[in-house]
Amino acid sequence: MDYRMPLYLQLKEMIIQRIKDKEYLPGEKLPSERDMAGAYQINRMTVKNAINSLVDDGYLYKIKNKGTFVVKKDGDKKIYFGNKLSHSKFGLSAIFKEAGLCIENEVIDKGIISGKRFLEDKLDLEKDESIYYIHRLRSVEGNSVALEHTYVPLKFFPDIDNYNFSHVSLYDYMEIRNHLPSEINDIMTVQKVKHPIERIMNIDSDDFLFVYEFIGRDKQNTIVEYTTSYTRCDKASCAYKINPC
Amino acid sequence: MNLDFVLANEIKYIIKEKQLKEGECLPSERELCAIFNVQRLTIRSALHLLEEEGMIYTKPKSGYYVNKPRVIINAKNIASLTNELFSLSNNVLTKLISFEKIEVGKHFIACLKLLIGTPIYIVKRLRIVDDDPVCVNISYIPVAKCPDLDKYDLEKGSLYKIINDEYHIQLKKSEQIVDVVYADKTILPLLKIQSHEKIIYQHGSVFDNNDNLIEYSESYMKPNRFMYKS
Repeated sequence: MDYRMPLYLQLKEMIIQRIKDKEYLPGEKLPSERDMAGAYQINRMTVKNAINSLVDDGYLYKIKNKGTFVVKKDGDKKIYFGNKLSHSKFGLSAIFKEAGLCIENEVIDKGIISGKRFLEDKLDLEKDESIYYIHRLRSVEGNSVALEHTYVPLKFFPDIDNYNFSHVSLYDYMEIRNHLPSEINDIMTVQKVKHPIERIMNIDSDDFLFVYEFIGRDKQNTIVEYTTSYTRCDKASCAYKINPC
Repeated sequence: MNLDFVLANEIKYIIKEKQLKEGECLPSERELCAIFNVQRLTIRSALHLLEEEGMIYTKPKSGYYVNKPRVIINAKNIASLTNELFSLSNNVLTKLISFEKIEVGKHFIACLKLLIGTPIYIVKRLRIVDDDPVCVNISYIPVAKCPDLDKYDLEKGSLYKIINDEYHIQLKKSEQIVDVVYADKTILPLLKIQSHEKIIYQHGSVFDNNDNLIEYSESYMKPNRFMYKS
């Protein structure tokens, strides 16, 4: 790199060097584009180009109306799950524990509903059978990771409302009632975050989520769970392994 | 429970129950209001959720219609994307963007786990379904595994079929990771999308039954055109 190189490349190189030298710390906000343009007497578009290119390269990230920040390497430790989830009978908590992180659960809504044809179809129920729903926000170190809407047939879990699933593992409880999902089928799509999820999960409104739909069957092959899980793409990657033995 | 979500799901059920196919019309807003006994505005925001999800689309002054189904990627078997695309439409086009033979450099060591200097082919292809570019695939294949790969028509058949039929390699093991990223400038125009939109980035390796790497690939995919099933 020498002084004849394009200015945006020089600026890029300078920012990378400052990140390496810990002058800009992980999570720190960068000076505004306007300030940088002023400081080095360069065009704001040049600054924008350098910054966008660093965002693409994964050094920086942007938050709308807030600014540009240095990527936090450790805090952004990505969790891998995908079809791994279907094989792990302990669900999301176990996967996070494996990664050395503790997951906190907050029940944000729960109750009994009936007459929802969509859910009756998913859970293979007769018309107007009661369904118990739990909506949980799952966080790690105070940051939301996933929002899970779980629906179970009430007839298999008549005392479910006595438990607080902020503390008790849902799968532990389902095991006690002899209806632990032993086979889980899932469909995953990548979707733009929908209102009001961005507010509940405190994420940017144009961000995307991994949307999983799980159908869990117990040992008798009865459907015992239908869950829609909205998982943050910046906190997790989805991994699919095929390895027949 | 959020009423918009509940209603959006109930409308999904109507589409399923009535077995509405691509391009077919949903019941009107007025009819849906009557079915669920809710206000016009409520139904509209539920329909809007389905529209954002890519499940339905609107025609102004006409109504709501079922959109193209998503391409299903089977995460339980190693299947060629070509076959998955053809199961959706007969109008699938594969365009070869570039074909290169290079030697592995520092940049690729980590993902390919091959030594510096190992010759590899880089095959970059664009997949188009019903005139809609849905996916860019970049395959990295060790030349030693598939010598003279360039003599095959990579726009015609599936790459996995060529590997299987012509090189007699059985693909056994696969490890793929799905992320959501900003696509770089070389990819965006191919998929005809705006800059700074996020897209699916699937990357991973496929091995034969002796655990030899046969293909490392990177795919950039339009989020609303794919679903993973396992």
